[in-house]
Amino acid sequence: MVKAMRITSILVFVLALGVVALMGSEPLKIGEPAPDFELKDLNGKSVKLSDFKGKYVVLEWINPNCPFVVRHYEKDGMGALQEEIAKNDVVWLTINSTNPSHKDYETPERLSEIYAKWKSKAASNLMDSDGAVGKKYDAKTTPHMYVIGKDGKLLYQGAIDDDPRGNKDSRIQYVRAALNEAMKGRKIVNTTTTPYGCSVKY
Amino acid sequence: MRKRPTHIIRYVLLLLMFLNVGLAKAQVVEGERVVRASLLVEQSDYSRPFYVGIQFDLSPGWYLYWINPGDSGLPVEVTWELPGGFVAGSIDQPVPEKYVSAESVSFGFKRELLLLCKIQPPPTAGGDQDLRIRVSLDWLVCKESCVRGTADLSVDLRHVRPSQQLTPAHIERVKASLPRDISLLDLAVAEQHVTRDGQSTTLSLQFSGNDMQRISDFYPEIIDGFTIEHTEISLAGGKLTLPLTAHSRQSALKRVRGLLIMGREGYVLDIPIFE
Repeated sequence: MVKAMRITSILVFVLALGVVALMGSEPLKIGEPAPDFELKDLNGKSVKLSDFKGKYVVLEWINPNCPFVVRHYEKDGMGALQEEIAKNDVVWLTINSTNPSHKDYETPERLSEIYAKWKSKAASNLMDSDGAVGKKYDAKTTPHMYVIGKDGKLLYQGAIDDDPRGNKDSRIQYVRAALNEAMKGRKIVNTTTTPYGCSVKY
Repeated sequence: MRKRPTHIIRYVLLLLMFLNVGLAKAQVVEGERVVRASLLVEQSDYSRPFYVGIQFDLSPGWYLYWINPGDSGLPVEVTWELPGGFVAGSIDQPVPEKYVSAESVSFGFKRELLLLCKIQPPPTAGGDQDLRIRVSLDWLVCKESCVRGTADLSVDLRHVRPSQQLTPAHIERVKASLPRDISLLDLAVAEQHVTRDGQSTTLSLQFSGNDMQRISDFYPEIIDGFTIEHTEISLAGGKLTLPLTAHSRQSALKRVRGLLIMGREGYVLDIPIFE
C-alpha cells in the first residue's frame, strides 16, 4: 500500500513536470519580479541579477552574427547608448543564448574581441549557452530588451526602438524612454512592444 | 594585326548592361547565391492597367518573411517610384508557410516568392514621358543565420525584355497561391469574447458552419498595440484562441485580420472586435 502510494506520488510529480515542460515559457508580466539568474561572463566569473538589486538593470539578448545587432553596434550607437545610460548608474547586461551547435555560436574569447571592436560599454556580457535564462525570459529575438527597476520588478520588455529597418530619421528609443520615465517617477507609457530582430538561436 | 574576339566583347557589354539597368539582383552570402530578385511586367501596353511582378528566387533552405513575420524576422518592403500619373495598387501576398520551433513561430516563403501589383496608368500616359517603373526592395532572408538584402530594380515600359516578361503562367501560379474569400465557405463567427488580465488579453472566436471542422490553423496579421503570442494560438472544436499582450493601457483591440488555414489554402478572416 505504501509502495503503491509512493509510486503514485512519483508519477504525479513526473506528470506535473511534464505539463510544465509542455507549457513552455510564457511572457513575463510587467510589474512582477524579474526572474533571478546566475550566468558566467566572458572571463568565467559568475554574475547574478540579484547582485544588482537597488539599481536599474537593462538586459539585452545578443547575437553578433545577427544583422540587426550588427547594425545597432556598428551604425546606430549602441555603445554610446550604453555609456549614456551607465552615467545614471544603470547596469547593462548582454546575454547570449546561442546554442553552441549553431552556426552563429561564438566562443567567449571571440565575443570579447567582437565587443571590444564594437566599443560595447555593457557592464557585463553573459553566456547562456543552454538557453535556460533566455527561455525563462521568453526572449524571442536579438535584440530583445528588458528593463528592470531598482526593486527587481520588470518595467519594460520588447524592442529596443521603433525602427526595425534602421532607416527612420527619428526613432523612439524605448529603453531610454522607459528609464527616463521610471527615474522621474512617471508611469511608463509603453511597457511592452513587439521585439524585432533575428530569432534567438536556442 | 590580331583581331580582338568580338564574342567576348559582346558578353562583357551584355554583363555591364545587366548590372547597370537593374533588371535583377542576386544576393550572394559566403559564395552562395541565396536569393535573386527580379522585376517583371505583364505588358508594355500602358494604355490599360497591367500587373507588375516582383519575383524572388531562393536557394534551398533560405526563406523570406510574410507581412506578419511571426516572432522574429522582417517582411519584404516594397517602395515604388512610378512615372507621373501611374498608381500602384496593393500587393497580393500568397498564403505563407509556417515554421515552428519550440520557442517561436515564423511565417514565410521558401523556393519562390512572386508578389503581384496592379498598376493603373493615367489616360495621358505616353508621349515623351519617362515610362520607367522603379522599385526599391528591402528584405531579410534566413536559413540558419539571417542576412539583410536590398535591390533597386527597374523596367522601361517601352523596352520590355523577354526576361522581364510576366507571363500568364506566372500570374496563374500566383493567383492559385493567394488567399481566398471567406464567403466561399459555410462558416461564420458565432461568438467572440475578449478577456483581459492586466496586459494579458485573450481573443476567442467560436466558429459555426459545416466548414468549421476543416480549419486547421490561423495565421494572424500584425495587430497594432499588441504582441501576438504565436506559440500559444490554439484551435479546438471550432474555437480559435488568440493570446495577446497589450503594449499599454491604451491598447484597444478593434479588428483582427488573418488567414484561416484549411489544408494548403488560406481564407481571409477580417472582423471587427467588440470589447
